[in-house]
Amino acid sequence: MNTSDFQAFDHLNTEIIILDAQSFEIVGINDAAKAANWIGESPRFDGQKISSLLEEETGQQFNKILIKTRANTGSVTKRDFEITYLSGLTRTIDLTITFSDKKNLIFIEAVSIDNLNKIIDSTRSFSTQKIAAGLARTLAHEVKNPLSGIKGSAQILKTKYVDDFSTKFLKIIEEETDRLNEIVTRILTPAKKPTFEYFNLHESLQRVLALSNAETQDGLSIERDYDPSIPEIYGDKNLFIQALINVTQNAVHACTNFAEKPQLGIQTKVSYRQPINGTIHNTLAEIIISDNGPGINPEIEDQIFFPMISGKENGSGIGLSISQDIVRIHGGAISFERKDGQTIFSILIPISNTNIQGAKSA
Amino acid sequence: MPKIWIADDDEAIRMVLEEGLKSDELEISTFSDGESLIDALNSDKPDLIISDIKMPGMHGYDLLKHIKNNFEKLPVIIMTAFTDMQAAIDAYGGGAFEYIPKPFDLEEAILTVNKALEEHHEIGGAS
Repeated sequence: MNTSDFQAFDHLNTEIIILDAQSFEIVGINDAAKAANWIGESPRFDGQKISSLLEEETGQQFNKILIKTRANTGSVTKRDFEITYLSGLTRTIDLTITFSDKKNLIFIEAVSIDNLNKIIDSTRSFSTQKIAAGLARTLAHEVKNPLSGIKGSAQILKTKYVDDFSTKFLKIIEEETDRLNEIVTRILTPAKKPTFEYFNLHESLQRVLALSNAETQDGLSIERDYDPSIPEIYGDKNLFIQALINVTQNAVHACTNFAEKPQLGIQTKVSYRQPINGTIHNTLAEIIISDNGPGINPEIEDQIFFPMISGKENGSGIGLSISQDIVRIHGGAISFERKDGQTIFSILIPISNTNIQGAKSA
Repeated sequence: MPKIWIADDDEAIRMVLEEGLKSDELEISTFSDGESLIDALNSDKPDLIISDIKMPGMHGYDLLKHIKNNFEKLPVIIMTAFTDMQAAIDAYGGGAFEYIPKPFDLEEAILTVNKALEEHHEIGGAS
């Protein structure tokens, strides 16, 4: 294979490295692989063994896979493969290694999944979360029965004991029962069947800002950074707005209550080739909502999308779990990170794919 | 004197409803499950039934079906958390009946009961 043949691979997003099948020396490497630091700073790769680019242990592991692939004259795929370069940099990749008997070459294809570890993790716990949500619903339902008894009893006593003292405390029993009922009702409210249509993302974001009262907060500066090239999104507009309101309200609450100069950031951009729930999507819209509040309490960090987990005083913990449900209905994923004093929520929605996953199962 | 039968496996709810509805003009009986209410229907007939949906043994839906099949004009009030409502309506084949959402407000529950009794009375009742 000569250099000009190889240049065609430079247009791919997948990292490709081609080895001599006997010596495991590199004969070709595309731009994506170079960008992903496979050969480090060194401009020359000809004749370098692939193992010499990697830290010793990874190198040995890699050689074993190469030998196995060659022996089986086939193809090997490794998911979540962790490689450490000689420089010490570690990445997690999906790896496919194919041996071509005829050409006596080995093709290495790699797709980075590093930046989406969080999303992949969250899909891993998807079934756990489903069980937890089911338990929450059952619990909420069971709570309604005794509430009837408590409230009814208070109401009966109220007709019998009309003095100020009794009235005062019976009223508390009644009101607190109503409050409990409101909380469990929010958990139980059945998800409306989504109606999918094409809608403009940025118009929806304007609604989100208006409805979450972000624009009327004193001293809150809002920074918008919209990518006008994002095409219309196929989804349930109202549900989508609700999902974003929940995230935005949290952000507004966090920074206006705790930051000296509260800042809210709303950004949209196009993102490419991101895996969600095991499928790699070519084109996605990403909505990033950030605030300079104190961030999420590390103790609940990995549970914030569960129902009934809240960092806010009097929070019901239902908002983000609803947001996640809605984002999933759209085949997307929601994740967050803390970076440079900012709490950053990212919502990814596939836009290339009208056959939205999850819409059927929702 | 109009008779009201209440079926609920929750004793607190039976007590509260009985106490709340109690008057000189009503005769109230309570049942802790659907079977005992159906047994009682062999020898007597109320003017109104108030029933829970989720009960051990015979399910509230089956009780509804039994009543609809055998005593079509007997008014029924279903008590349940809202999430069960659609299922209850489906089970009853869209038949007309009132419902009291749980947890109920006692005053509203009493209003619903009185309304159902009045309507039943106007139609001429089954009794």
